[in-house]
Amino acid sequence: MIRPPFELNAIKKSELILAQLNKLTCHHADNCDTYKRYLDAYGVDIGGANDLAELPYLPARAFKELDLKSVVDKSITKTLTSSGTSGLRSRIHIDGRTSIKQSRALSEILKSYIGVKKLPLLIIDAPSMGDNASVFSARSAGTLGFSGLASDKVFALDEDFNLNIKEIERFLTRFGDSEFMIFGFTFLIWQSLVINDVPDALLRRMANGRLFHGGGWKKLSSLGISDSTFKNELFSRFGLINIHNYYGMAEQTGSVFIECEHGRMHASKYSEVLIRNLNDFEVLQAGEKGVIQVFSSLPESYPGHSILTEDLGWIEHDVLCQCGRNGTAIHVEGRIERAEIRGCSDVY
Amino acid sequence: MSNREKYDNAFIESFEIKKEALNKGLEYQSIPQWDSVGHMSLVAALEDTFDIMMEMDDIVDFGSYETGIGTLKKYGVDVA
Repeated sequence: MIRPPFELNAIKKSELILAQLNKLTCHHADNCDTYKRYLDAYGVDIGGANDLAELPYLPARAFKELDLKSVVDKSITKTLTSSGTSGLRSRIHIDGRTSIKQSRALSEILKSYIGVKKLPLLIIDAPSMGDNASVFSARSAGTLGFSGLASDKVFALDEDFNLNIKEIERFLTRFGDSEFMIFGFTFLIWQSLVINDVPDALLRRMANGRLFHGGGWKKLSSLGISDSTFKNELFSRFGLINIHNYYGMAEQTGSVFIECEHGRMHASKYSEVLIRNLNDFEVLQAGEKGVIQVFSSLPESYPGHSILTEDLGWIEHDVLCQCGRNGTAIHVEGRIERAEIRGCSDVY
Repeated sequence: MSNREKYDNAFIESFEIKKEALNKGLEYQSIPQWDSVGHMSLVAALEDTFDIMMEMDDIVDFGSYETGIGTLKKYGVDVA
């Protein structure tokens, strides 16, 4: 069974998304002076890209150094900030329209995993992450996004990031016997659930959960913990079988890449991905490793529809995945080393 | 239940408002409950009620109680 929003075949998908992205380039050039000047400086044919490779892109860093927006200030309802390694924070301005598109895309993508019925959600984070403030972090955005799709939600940690055993017990007593969702940031899950001295008898009761986790890989890999170690540990201690790593970024909230049942992160009809050579930024073939460029048809309030990330990975095209999702599959392999980031400055 | 009653119920239940509040002035962001989160609940309620799946553009443009009737017509649902 082919599952929406992954139902489009490769040809239809690339036609649809290219048209949407070209339209977005025009929209942002018309409404964001800084972006327009950037395009002009590179002599870009605005809205005239013949394929994804020709679409202009911004380096993720642009959102740290510039205040980029394509709407008037009074339309901005939320500003998302993310801390970077450099200390500079990126600022992503979101209006009502973009916000709706983000929620909808996330909801459609998530439903392909959990079905149409809302499920209870155990959030491995502190309750303050669920506060709907006007300025919030990427982590909080993920928490809010998933919360919107939950029938009930409970935060598993207290404000000091210690496990709130009472709350977890209460949640598992109410919902633990049937399917539920668990959501959290990878490192926080590792830190609070795996290396903490939690009674295994309690955590064993989490086996019916479907875990979605992402972000914070740098911290884990610095501890030498791989994706498979993470999965194995959660399986052996908690009996968790359904574990989905996801790849997403503050600049493209909503159009996330969630790892499917067969280990592939598919692009939905709202996103696409290319890999570029780290040295000359030429587009690489499927299977070749390079810098990840992500596209999203969602951002209208800021020019974030085509972004060159600082992450490395490779892709598979036109996979006939047994999970029933069409679309390019992405495999993320980590961040560009500090010394190599210099290469990116040349495009900017 | 008529389609109009079902349509009205979707608004009444999603926003927890009274029937009297359903009028021309009811638009996206005209009441606190109809924010982006409320919008998603409304769309979900309409999709459930009428067994349809709305496209992204129609969801974003679903701007008011009144214009929504036209949007649903595209999906073969006659509310008027």
